[in-house]
Amino acid sequence: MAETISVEVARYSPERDTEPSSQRYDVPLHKDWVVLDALNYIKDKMDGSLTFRWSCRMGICGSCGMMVNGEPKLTCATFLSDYAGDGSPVRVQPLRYFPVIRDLVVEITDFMNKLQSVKPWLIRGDEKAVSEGEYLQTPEQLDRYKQFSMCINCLLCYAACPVYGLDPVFIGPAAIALAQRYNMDSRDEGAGERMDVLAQHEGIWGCTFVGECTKVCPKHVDPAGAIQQYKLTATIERFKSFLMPWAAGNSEMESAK
Amino acid sequence: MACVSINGANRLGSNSLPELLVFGARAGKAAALTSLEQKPPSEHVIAQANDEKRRLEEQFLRKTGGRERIATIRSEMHQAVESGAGIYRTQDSLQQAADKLQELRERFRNLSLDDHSLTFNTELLGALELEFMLEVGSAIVASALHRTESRGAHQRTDFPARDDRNFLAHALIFRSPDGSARIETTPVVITRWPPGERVYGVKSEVKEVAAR
Amino acid sequence: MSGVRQTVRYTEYHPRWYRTRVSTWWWLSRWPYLKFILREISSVFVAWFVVVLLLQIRALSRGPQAYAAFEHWLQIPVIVLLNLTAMFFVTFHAVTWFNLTPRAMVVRFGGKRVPDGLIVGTNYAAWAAVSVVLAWFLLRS
Ligand code: SF4
Ligand code: FES
Repeated sequence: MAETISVEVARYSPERDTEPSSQRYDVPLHKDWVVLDALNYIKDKMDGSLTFRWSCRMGICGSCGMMVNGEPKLTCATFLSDYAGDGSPVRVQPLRYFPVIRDLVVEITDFMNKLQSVKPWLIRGDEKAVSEGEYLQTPEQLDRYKQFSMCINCLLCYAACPVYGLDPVFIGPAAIALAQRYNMDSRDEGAGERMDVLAQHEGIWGCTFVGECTKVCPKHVDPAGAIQQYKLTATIERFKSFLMPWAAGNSEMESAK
Repeated sequence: MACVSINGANRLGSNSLPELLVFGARAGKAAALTSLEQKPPSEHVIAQANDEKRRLEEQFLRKTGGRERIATIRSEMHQAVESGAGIYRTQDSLQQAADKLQELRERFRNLSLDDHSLTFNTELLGALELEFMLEVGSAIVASALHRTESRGAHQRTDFPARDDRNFLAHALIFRSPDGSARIETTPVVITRWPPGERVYGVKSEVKEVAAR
Repeated sequence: MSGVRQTVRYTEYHPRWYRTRVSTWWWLSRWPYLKFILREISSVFVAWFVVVLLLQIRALSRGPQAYAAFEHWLQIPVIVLLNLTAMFFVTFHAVTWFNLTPRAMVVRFGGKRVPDGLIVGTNYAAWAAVSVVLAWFLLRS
């Protein structure tokens, strides 16, 4: 048999346990195996009751985020061999700061609601008729928001954010980055509507720029950047509406496109 | 499969994804609306639902001592369908796949789960999925056996030509009481694009020039 | 606003979910967290520098004698130590913030995003320039 590696997985059954424990499994160590392969090996061959989410195995669906040795990771993109060698087991735990439903599965309704609250879709003053054709956009206009549109809702950034951990009402990195994705879209006219939710304490002002969200993001979305950029926009808007109440609105955000 | 007929009998590449999104949303809305208009379920329906619940509990959640694991059956199924009913198929390969699937469907009854929990039971989900996949797999193989021609992604090397006279038709599969598949066909309505020959490389260029 | 509050309430309490408490010492668990806390603390020292500056101006306005006393005060070891610490934190503050500016400020030029290095570089260049001018003023005599 090939080399093996120990994986120490958090277990929690709401029907039996009052708090999580951990269980150790020895799995084969293949050079091309990711942490998710180890979990699936355990589920298939050793213990079918181990519970975790996954789907695409290719860093696209965003459902396999877990803590690996204390860091938020997509388990389908994290190689076992990177943890081999020192003989200590790989620790796999559910995403930090979220309530645990069972084993490695966390409850994410909180995020889903927050995401909805920032209206992450194109908002138009008036829709044009389908017969009038598409809303066009230049490559430069696409370039303004493209980075923020790469988000796969994996929530690694939330697990990296101490502000979210300490104060769960914080809207959080991905939701703000996605709001900014639409604010920066030349076809969108909803920046004013989103501002109510974003420019409050639970929104951007909750962020103290720890910057870890950007570091753990597997899709290089840079949510920390999105939040700081929005802080700048919101401040300018605030001053504008203070100095020129008649011109209030989303002029600044529109011109940023 | 995902054949809602806007892309033909096709679920290649990413066509199926927008189809799922659009038609999934429509189906969901329609189902919700319909359910609003329904009268509350009769005793009979509720009894049926309870029976089904009991069956699932007995067959999966409370059962111990079965000898088969999901993963074994699943990978044997992959293997059988991949080698027997891949893009290139023959009577022999399909028949082998059909036999193997039959065997697996029998072995499935001897399945037992490690997970007897009622919370987020992914193993139960896996078992139900596997049961469905075995059934859908058998349906695919049965209709491929029935279709003695080649068309699109269905390439029968023992019947390389397209046969519009017999098979310009959708295959509809029904489950007979004994669990086996019964096949009926319904004609294809041609609107704008009559079926053409699928050619690649130089031949496709020739075809394009000819079309002009 | 209320939207967010309300939706949070949904996940506030559920007897069967397990919630981990954030440890009081969370910021010791990782260097970036610690760095972040240090950067926050540095504001205290920035404030201290402002106080020193104000004291200096007051001493100046009160004439040469008061200023000599102020200079004498600056030489007390405890104050020297305090100022050195403050110097460290203020530098830390400046450097970490400079390095973060490209995240907050996206400058576009001719349709392209100006590279991060250039933005950080400009900051440092401006800092150096101001320091040189000040040094020239102070060391002139
Ligand atoms: S911003 Fe990045 S880390 Fe956060 S949810 Fe999106 S993809 Fe994941
Ligand atoms: S399984 Fe889809 S992102 Fe990892």
